Formats: sequence, structure tokens, C-alpha cells
Amino acid sequence: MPTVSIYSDTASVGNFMRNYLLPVIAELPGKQQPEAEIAVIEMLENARVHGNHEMPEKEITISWELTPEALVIAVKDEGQGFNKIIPKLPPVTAAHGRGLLTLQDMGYDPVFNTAGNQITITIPRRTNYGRYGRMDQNS
Amino acid sequence: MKIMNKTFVIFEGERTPTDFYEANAKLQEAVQTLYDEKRKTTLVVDFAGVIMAPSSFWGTLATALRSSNIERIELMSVQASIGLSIERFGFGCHEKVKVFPMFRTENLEVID
Repeated sequence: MPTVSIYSDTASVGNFMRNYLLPVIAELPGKQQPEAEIAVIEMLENARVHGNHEMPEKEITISWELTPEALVIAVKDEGQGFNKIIPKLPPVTAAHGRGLLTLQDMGYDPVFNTAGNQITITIPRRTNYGRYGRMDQNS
Repeated sequence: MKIMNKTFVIFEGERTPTDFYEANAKLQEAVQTLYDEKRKTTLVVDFAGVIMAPSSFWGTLATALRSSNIERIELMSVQASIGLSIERFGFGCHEKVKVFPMFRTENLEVID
């Protein structure tokens, strides 16, 4: 399982996505790719902002495995972890609180480690996507 | 005569969610500059070809909503998934926000 550590800044997140994860995500069905990309960005941003408190010198460690069935991604930060709360819709003017909700909306069930500073999701390969991805299946 | 004072942030060329994640700095910078200048304005955000936005973008938009000098926010060229997020997170029914969908000609049926 490939593992990479990056610093906690947006440029490092962007570079990691381009150099490592986007080529992996490109192996998923085409219409699934933007949603998978968003899911990984949400995990990384959660680690950068809430886990490492936007301190760029702190590291985010990412592991992933692509199988014929799914892409499994784990993201770990240097934070103290947090209680596994069920995300609720934040007030419209709130700056934070939409990342985990977005993962939940996409149908991914994030799994946390005991310490609460690592999140893992499994993105199954799907073929029954609508025009704009899975989000418009019920429309 | 009323002259509209508008500030434009156009996400042209940011096609993938990763591009858009990095380009969110454009919006952050614009919101901060407008706050520092204390200039009353309408903020126009043009999504251009963007199809999905990460939550960090919606957080920046929420900050713009809280900014008293930004009197109105116009969201332009809104495509399907972006529109769903706008409604999901409550921006669509906020009094300061106006949404302009992008109509795709390929969705139109030619009847004659």
C-alpha cells in the first residue's frame, strides 16, 4: 500500500493530488472521478485544518490501495483526534463543518481509528452513474 | 443614475476539483481585500466550467456572506452539482445570494 507524507498547506495538498492521487483516481469510471477527487480533498482538508490546525510544518500521511473493486484511502494527521460526531448541516454563514457532511452525502462511511486522527474511506468502483455523477441518480 | 459596483471572481480554467481547491485562494483574497477596503460591492463569482466544489470553497463563500460590505453575491454559470451544493448548504435561499444557472444547449430539445 503506497504511503506518502506531505506538509499541511494547500499547495502541498494540490501537488499531492496531481502527482499521486489523480493518476489513481483516473483508473475509476470517468463519471465517478470528480466525486472521488472531492472526497479525497475533503479528507486532506479536514486533516490540514482541523487535525493540524493549519500549521504547515505538521504532516499529513496518506495511504491508498486500488483494487478491482474499490479505492481505499486513509488520511492521518498529527492532531489529538476528536469524538466521532455525526456531522450536521452548519449554519449558512459558518466557515467550517461541510467536509464530513459532504462525504456522508456522497454515501461514503468514514471509519476513524481509535485515536480519532485517521480517517479511512472506501470508494467502490461504480458503473451506474448519472450524467453528473451519483448525486443526480434520484433526480 | 445608479452605477452598479461589482467585483468579479472568475474561475476560468479551473476545471477539476483540485484546480478549484487551489484557486479558492482567489476568492479568499478578494473577500479579504474588499473587507480591508471597506468598499460596498456586489461580489460576482463565475464558476465557468467548474462542475464540483470542495467544502473549503463554501466556507469562503460563507465568510463573504458575513462581510457587511458585500451587499449581494451573484453566483454565475452554475452547473448541476454546484447548484445542488448551493441548495444543500442553504446559500440558495439566503437574501444576499442570487443564482444564475448555466444552461447547456445540449440539454435543449429541438422541436422544429
